[in-house]
Amino acid sequence: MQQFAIHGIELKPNSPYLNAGHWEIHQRPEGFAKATTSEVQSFNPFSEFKLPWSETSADNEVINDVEMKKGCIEVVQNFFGEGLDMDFAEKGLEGRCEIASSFYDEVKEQMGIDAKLDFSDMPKNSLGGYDPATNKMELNSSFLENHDCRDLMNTILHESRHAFQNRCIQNPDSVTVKQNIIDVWKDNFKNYIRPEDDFEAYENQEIEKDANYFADSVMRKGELVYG
Amino acid sequence: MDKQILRQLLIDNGYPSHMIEKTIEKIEHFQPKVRKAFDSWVTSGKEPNMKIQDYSFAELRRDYGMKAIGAFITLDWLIRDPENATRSLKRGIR
Repeated sequence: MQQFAIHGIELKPNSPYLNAGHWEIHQRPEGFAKATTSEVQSFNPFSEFKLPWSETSADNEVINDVEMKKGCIEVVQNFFGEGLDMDFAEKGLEGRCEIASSFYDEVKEQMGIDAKLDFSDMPKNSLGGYDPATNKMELNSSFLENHDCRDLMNTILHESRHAFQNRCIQNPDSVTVKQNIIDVWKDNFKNYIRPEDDFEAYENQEIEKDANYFADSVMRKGELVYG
Repeated sequence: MDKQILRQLLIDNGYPSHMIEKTIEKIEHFQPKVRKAFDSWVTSGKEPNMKIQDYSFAELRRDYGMKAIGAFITLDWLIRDPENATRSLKRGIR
């Protein structure tokens, strides 16, 4: 696969980065990460982190969660309204990368986040992940080989929501999300359940349920107008 | 199976402390078919060749990167709640 660097999105062929879809990063030469007991015990998700928004963005702006979601729904509506799903289907990798980048630019503006988005080679059942330590989102590059962009958009929304959750935790005064919800998210980030340990519990933990619900409902409502 | 044995098994398999007790509870409430296969794996290392909703132990390990215990938990989930389990597995990890 060629390397692209468009609007901050880089495609890295044969990337050593292997993300099993959540924000823990284990770089392994091959196969899935198998955390050893010492790695699990020593790993502290809050030992280092990058702010999930840039200092140049409206960092004093308070993000209203309800309005933010409406804004994201509009972004999706406009995407389909302008026929960008059709453009995506017709274009090659570079064009699809540009379209995905533009979509993400609009989403991140609504959410007040500034996570960097990359595509990399991943196993087929790993769609992507967000890492709060580096404030990076990684998506499976196979999305760009699929003419249907809906799953890609849904995953961008899902991972962006994780970046937003992290923003809420790092700066609760900058959002209207209630403190008791932020506390639940903070506890969940600290006590994250990985899919390889218990897939059912991974799906049902609060930050994943929230991100899934957000992405699914934004896509559903955004597409509603265009059926 | 003794809880202490299960606890040590989970620790040896890299389960974080915040997951130990809930995972023990899950194992203790496994569906009979899964429990039998799990006990056999613990005592003899034998991997099951059962398929639940078209997902096998081997596939869950290979295609989803699940630990062995995680694969047993998922097979159990596929029996208890096939609709949600298959939907989640089909969507993938993100």
